[in-house]
Amino acid sequence: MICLGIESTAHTFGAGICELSPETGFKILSDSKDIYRAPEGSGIHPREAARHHVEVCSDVIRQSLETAGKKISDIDFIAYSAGPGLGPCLRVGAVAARSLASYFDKELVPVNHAIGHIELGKFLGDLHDPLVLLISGGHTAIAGNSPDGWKIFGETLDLTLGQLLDQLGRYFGLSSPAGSKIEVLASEFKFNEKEMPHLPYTIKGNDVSYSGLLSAAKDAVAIGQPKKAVSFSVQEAAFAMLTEATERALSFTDRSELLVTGGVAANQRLSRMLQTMCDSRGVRLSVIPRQFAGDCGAQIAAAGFLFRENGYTVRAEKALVRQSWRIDRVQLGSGSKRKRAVA
Amino acid sequence: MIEAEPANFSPIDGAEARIELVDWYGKPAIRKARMPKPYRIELLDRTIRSRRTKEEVEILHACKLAGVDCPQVHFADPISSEIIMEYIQGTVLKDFRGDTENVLRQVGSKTARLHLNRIIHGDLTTKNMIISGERVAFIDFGLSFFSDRIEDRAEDLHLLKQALKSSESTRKANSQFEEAMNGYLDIAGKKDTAAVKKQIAKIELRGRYAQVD
Repeated sequence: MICLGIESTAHTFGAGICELSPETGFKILSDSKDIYRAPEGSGIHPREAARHHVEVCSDVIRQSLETAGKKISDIDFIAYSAGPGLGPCLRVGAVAARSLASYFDKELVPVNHAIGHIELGKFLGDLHDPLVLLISGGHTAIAGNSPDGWKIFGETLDLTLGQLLDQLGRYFGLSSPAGSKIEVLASEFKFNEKEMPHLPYTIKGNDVSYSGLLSAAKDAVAIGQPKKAVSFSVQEAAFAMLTEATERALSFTDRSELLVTGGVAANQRLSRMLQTMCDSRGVRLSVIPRQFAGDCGAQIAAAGFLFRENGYTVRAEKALVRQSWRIDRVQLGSGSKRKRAVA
Repeated sequence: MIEAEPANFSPIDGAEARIELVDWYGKPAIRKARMPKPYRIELLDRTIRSRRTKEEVEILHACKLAGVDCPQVHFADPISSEIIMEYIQGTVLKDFRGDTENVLRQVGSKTARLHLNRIIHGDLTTKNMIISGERVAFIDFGLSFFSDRIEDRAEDLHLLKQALKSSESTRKANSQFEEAMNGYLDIAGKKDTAAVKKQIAKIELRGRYAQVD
């Protein structure tokens, strides 16, 4: 089976082609993308991002076919990211998927974006039943699969980790996504107890909260603390909170594998913290490779197989998007393989 | 008083601390030591561990005064971040296979007692309640704090609901939680219970991409 996956939830328009067969297993044939860049000091404007997606959409899809060395006739079905995400952006991907599917008479499968991150990570890390730490601009959640779908063991009560870093970055005058720039700033801080701003560490059971941390970090900058020190302190507190919540969830669920996926998975400091924690518990850590950490078409194609198998195939006129499609609302697994609905 | 049965307890390397059975002047006791977390920088780690140890002892004391069953503290040291406390033998609620209805009602009424005494447990999961005969004791006050905000009370109960949901079907968990709320009502009264329930609904909607059931 060959699947073309189309991703357009936020800043990235991506098209990826994946193959799944009993003989050769899972293979990524291509993964093309074009990322909308917000102006310095500002975040993603949904309308502007959608406009960007419209402009690059056909080139990205064409490129994914060329890289894979496939013609559209080789594609068995098309999967698109149906949510959660920014409405105007999601609609661009859905329109592209609908058009291709109806013109070339292909099966059309709506996919949950978050499960895309997870499925791709599972394939690439060769994992079976991991606890998942999903960290991006849209998610900060600790999830695990169960017979009746994904369950959330802990999540952020307010901002996501990506938002925390992006908003701090915006305050510094950087453009989103700012995570990697904050990481560089933090690594330039020469550690010294006295110069390290004191920031709140808010963990409630398995949940974390980042809004107080963001306000305190902004206040620290406002009274003249250097950006490097603030970046360092924010990373240390935010990541330690998350590592602690993840450790609790691992302990609660007794799992032996941890998958880290989503855009912020690219952060090296966070990976090191999680590695240290996993080593002490004898848990196998799998961090999604950097190039697939952020949003991409391959994740949608990877999840396409799962959603198709679970009866999500829709006719073009029913191929809708849903801006707030929580991962624990996705019906997978148990029950008959009846027709599933996005909405 | 529980008869001193031969204590059967293997050390737990929990997410937060190492819990082991020790001998406290001839009696079995629990030693809870908050181990350094090497993933955190030393400054942060030290601050968090000693703060939590002190707070836990203060809360355990307040909990006793509120009439809620919890381990008795024998000894504590914030610098080495350890507490030695009473050993309560029994089954954790997560593994309990008996009359859960009665137990959950007690869980609810005891939670209300805590809340009326400004105590927020902070980690009200089914792993942190021990059933010992007729006795339902709360343990692990490691994330507890003092507050009388409805928001904090509701968050406590919201976590209990999540914990129930993570090991039971949504329907069963909802009815179990309803039972706990009945127990809460017995102690906290209509006005407070209604306010807390309303806030729980708000918290559920606050989750990312949440929606009304």
